Amino acid sequence: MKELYNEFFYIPKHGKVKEKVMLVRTAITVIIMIVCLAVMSITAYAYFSYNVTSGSNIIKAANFEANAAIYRTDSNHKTLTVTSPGRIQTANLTAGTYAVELTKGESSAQTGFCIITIDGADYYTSQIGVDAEKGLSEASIKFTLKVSSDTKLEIRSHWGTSAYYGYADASSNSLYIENEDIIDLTASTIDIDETSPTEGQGAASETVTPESTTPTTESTISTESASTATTESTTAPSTETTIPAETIAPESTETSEPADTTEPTIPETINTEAVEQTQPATENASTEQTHIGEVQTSLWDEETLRICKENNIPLP
Amino acid sequence: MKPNAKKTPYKRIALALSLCALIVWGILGTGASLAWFTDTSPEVNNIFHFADFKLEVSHRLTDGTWEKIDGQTKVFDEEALYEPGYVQVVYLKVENKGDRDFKFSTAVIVNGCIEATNVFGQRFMLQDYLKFGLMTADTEEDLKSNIPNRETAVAIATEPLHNYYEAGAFELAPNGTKYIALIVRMPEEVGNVANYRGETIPKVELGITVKADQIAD
Repeated sequence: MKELYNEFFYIPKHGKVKEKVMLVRTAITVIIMIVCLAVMSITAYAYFSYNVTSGSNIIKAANFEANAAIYRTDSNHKTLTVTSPGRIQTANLTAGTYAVELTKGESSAQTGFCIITIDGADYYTSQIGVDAEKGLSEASIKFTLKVSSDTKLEIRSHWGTSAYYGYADASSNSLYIENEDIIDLTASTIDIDETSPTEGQGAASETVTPESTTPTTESTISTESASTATTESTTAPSTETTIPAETIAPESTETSEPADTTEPTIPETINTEAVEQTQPATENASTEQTHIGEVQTSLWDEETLRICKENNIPLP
Repeated sequence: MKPNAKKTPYKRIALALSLCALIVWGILGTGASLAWFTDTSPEVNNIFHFADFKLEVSHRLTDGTWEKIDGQTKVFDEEALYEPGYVQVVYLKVENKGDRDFKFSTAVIVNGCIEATNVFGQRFMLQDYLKFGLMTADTEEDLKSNIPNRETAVAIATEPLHNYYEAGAFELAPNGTKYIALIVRMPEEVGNVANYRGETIPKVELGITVKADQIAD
């Protein structure tokens, strides 16, 4: 330090001042002047400005993970083990009838749904939790599953409202599971029976116990919906909601109109197919079995009639 | 007289004194002449005082009252949990409590973000899935009529949540008031990529600053 001082700062009393000493001292002086000018400017500016700050506002996210409980109902009522490898809960089923219950569990989100894959086919449940469109709040979804062979069941929890991701609802999606539904996979085609037997649809189905009045024969799942489920793509919101602008809980299915981008146009196609398929059925009038895509032309139920009328679908 | 005797500089002293006297005489004469041709009014009062420059910001509580904001005040509901479709609107009131005009602007600053893991096992930042918006109005009624429902709030909050500095500044006269609505939402289409798993809850730490600058006359 002393050497440094003698080299750059020392001015002898009776000797000649070194040039580098003068340069260093001049440079330091200039720097001090600049700093003082800056401090003066900042102080003056601060004197004429004022800040109010709200510092630590914490914004947190919720999460949704459904708990799944599966147990046999046709024999020993044994509860199956549902494993949870990562985000998918799986269960291996043998032939039989099972009751599946999905609950919100420890989820902090107000609503969500599940995507259930049964032997490669994706099913979508109704909302588990708040369903503002229907004015419901169901803490759990229970449905019955009938299988005739070894079946792998996969359950994926998904937060949000199924309609916003294109999975729509029972009126346009035949693979949509609501509470108390029965999924019968023992027949040759997939059968979700939700209608009353007095309406003449599926009354004689060997595997169906009608539980609800929602028609089953409206549409098939679009492949876009399935791929959306797996790729988690996001689309621009096209739904319109009407909640007042305060702190607002998610109005899960509060859509007066279903998402435009996912508005199924399939009913027209389905009805066409149904007409084609039912022609043989009418020829073989002995059968009264109802399957998705096949409708007895003379036996349209009221709900189907209403939906077709709303969508300007001519019925034969 | 001895040849090396030191001479007393009487002449020099006398000359210096004469010069001083001459200068004093010139000053007195000039000052007196100037005073003779000027006049002052004894009734002028020169008062100097410091201007009062004060900004006050309040936020609206759920019961409709306003609470003043300081550095520790939390404007957003900490109990709120964001999920697809969730919208939160916060109302602020900016008041000029001083006696000088000022211009103010609002800034939203992301002070920090806690990363979490989603259902796919991927790390994600909650900040990337939130949007915010800001609206200003002159009265509280105007502000509420500009944001009458959730749909409008969603339409306003379109900016990704990031550090935001309001481009323009609003002028506020003494005793003037402005109202600000700050909207933060999670879009409805946010998928499971932001649905977290595990113990770590994704969080965003948000700071809100209202800065006022005095307007020069």
